[in-house]
Amino acid sequence: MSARTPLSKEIIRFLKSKGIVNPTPIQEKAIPLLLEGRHNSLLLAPTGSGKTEAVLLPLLNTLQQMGKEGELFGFYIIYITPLKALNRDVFKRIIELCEHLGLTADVRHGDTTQYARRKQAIKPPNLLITTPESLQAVLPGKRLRYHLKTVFAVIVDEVHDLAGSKRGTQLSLGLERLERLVGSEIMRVGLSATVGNPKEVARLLGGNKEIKTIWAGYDNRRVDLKIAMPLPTDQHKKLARKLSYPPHSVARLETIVNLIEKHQSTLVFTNTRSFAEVLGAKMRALKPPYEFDVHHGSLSKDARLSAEDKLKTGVSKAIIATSSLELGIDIGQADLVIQYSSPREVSRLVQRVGRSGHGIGRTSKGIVISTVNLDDISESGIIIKRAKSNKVENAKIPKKAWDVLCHQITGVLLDCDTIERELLLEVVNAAYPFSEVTSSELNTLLEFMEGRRLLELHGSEVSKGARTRVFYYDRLSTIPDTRQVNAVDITTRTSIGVLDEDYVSANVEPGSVFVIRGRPWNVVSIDDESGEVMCAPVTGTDTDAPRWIGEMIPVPFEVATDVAKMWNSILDQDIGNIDAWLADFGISGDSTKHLVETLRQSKKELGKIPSPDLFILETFDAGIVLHSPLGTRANETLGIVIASLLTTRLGIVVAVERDPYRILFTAKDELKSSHILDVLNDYSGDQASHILRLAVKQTQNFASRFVHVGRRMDIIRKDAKSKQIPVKYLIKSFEDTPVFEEAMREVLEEKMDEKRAMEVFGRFSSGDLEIHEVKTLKPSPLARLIVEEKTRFEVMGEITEENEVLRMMEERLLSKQFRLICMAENHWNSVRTIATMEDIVTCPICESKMIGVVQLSEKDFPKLLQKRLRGEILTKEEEKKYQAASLTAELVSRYGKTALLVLAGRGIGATTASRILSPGLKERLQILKAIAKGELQYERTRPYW
Amino acid sequence: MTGSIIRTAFDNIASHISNIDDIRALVEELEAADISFEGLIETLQKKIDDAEVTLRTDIRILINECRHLESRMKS
Repeated sequence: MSARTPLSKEIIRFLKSKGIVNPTPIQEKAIPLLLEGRHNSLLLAPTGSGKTEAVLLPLLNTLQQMGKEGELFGFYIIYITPLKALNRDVFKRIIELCEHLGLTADVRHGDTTQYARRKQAIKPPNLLITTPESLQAVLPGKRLRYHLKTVFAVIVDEVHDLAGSKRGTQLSLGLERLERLVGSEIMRVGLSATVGNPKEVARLLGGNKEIKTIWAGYDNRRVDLKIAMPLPTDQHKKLARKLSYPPHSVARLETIVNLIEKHQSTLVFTNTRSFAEVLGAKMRALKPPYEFDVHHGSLSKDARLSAEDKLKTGVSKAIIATSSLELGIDIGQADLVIQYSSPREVSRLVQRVGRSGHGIGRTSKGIVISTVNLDDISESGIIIKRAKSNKVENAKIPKKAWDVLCHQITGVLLDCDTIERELLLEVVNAAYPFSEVTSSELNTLLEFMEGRRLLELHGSEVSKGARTRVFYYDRLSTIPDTRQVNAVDITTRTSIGVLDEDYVSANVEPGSVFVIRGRPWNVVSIDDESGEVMCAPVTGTDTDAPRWIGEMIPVPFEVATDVAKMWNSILDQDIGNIDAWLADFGISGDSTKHLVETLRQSKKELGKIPSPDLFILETFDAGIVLHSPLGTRANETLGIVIASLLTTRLGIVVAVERDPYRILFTAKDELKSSHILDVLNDYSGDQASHILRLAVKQTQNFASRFVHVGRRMDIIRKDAKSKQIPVKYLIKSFEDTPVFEEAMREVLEEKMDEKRAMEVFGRFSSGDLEIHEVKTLKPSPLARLIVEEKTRFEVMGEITEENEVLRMMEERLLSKQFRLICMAENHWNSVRTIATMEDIVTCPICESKMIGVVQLSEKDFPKLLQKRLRGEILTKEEEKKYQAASLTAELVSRYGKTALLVLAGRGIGATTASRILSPGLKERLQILKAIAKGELQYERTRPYW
Repeated sequence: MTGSIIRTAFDNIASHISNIDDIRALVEELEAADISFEGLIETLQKKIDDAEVTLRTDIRILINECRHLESRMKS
């Protein structure tokens, strides 16, 4: 540190001993300011620029001075991070300095042992590093509460991560409660690398107090970002068969494997946990010459720690991760970040790429591996361009979240037993997310809470009730409480991860195989009581990755509109200029070619290219696509409203699919583009808004949110299993209560973009928005992006690759073996793999097409058939088997190999197959989609079989 | 004066401590002794040495609160 830095000699000496002599830009600005004391601040600087030290050095300096003036006893500085792992990292970074200064520091979070907690109550550490939830637990604690009275500063690290969720909302009220307890103002400092709306985030942190925002170090940051779009070679095609993985995916996989090999340490980010698992499993099958691990939030703590340590110590060369490694967890010096497919948000790319070249003066290197998909390439390009100029998304701070307020009111009552309504409103209003709560709204909530015996109301006084404490401690966390079960390795009896209960009940049974930690596991048994899934490792490739909820990352409006503008600009560019122009977006080579060709073809077929002011309504045989580049949330909203209005006005039942750039409408009855235009023309934004609320109420999304909010607001037992909850009845009974309102607010604010969708109605009626109508013989290249994506989203989750899931499914179906029996003469009984069959299936002996299809285990079926052919009476069971086989024979005679393919679908028996198969079903993709639909139906209804 | 400080300190911390009877007895003893503030802190610190671990924390909380009240009175 420079001589100008007014830190104590002990601190300077310590830093020098560590070779630190010059402050980083953020430290240079923040240290003098924080040493003055009483300055609430928001420190914004790139990842790896020493923000933690920028805040802790001056605060520890102050604390050291206080220690010289009198004995320190209590908590003085609270350091809050969103993750337990970050707690541990901050502790490791700072403990040596603390000890050098004679100060104490400790970590407290959900995994802290009882013994350590007790020790903290007896001997409180001067610096407490904790999570927002653990702070909530400490606030009303008998002893700890006293120790909190000495707090003079609170630091909130990675504040952007908390700001966009209810965790931040809860923390903002928690800070107000803490300040009331201390009795004087506490210094509040927020730290972040990526905030789009610093002013608002500062208000979340400081309430109605002034907060200084300090930016530093963004100019010195060096980033190298580009897109790669690998194309398959013949070699990849061969490998594809071996790995049961599509050639395009194999090409990408191999590119990743090679990139990892050429670098010291690599982080590979995927957008979903399930895809991290798929990629891990396929990479393992490729047997790369180095170790790597999979890392995500559903893996056990031990598995995650081991992966982090292995990378840090150089034992492994790579980690395939999701957002679990986005925040500043110390994983050593990664020199490359690979992002598989578009990161969908700018902030996500900035956070992820910031994990490489961590440190001042180093270059962050990131490669987006794009699929051969226009949306993927252009979206990645726009995100790269916006990331370079640090145009990150705003954190959407939830306001008036009634479930959080409900919980915090019980907290206030634990703090002070009784409080006047007026004073309570003052405390509530002091926190930014609740600054506009009115007295009448508060009273409604208080009455609801009184009904649940969470508090007592006596005139103007609000007091603690019989269940206040239990409720408060039971619901410390605002993170959606998806019930999860442990997956246990039966050989070592160690936990290998957690699975969502919904996934387990729908997909897992003894004998089934799934992928976790990048390896396939065989389910041995499922414990009835605990729900634990006991597994054993297996080898094989035909496996499912488990699905987890909350995985889809929405593409923001700003990115989607920029993408559409980019499409139009590309076509406006001179050919010679395109490469140079796209270089700014990190796009080059094959991706440029694909982009330009797809756009030219689309313009040829559509006449125009969509933009934020020009939508295209494309009608073709199978449906209508509204090309509306407004982002995921606005299109979701628009789709729901238009579909509801079509149903209400015309009685047409419309199915809707959406992506960030377009909406697909399909209907059994005739649907015309004029129907959609009429709807947009005839309704105002306000009317549409009303319709939206009515429509949302009927959605599965609302029901699921209602259950989560209901759990948090005490109308549903916390441990109630999903199947036991009468959701429809509850929604009806609790309409017009804060629970219903909160669930609606959550859906509308988090999943929808009501404002922008409603604007479409107004803009279209006023002529501000043009809609170009066009009829195409087959879906245009832009429409195909949603038409062909439709099935794969339903089957697998979110692997963003063209037809990948269908191709994977086809491989699986083709590898299925059946026992084929000649039903006419019973002289042919053969086990055959579908892939080896001709399109027309006949008996090699008599050439009959009546070939029965039975499972391999049905070895005795020929005996049964013989009995039937001899005219003997069959038992009930035998008759059933015979009828089923006869039906399959009929299907094979009419549809040949296609019938075998359909029958190979999971859970598709003869009757279902006869429903799926129809003479018009000829096209490969159409057949596969129909099978996927049948499989999905089976998965959905399996619990009732 | 010290009598009122230790009594007020006790009232402030009563809801936070585990060994309320022991601390109450200690407060009554010191109140009656009528000693200076420094003497009061010294006596309390001596008591820490022989006390069991949770009582030790309670005494430290009491010392802390007395110091806090004293500094507030000064300012």
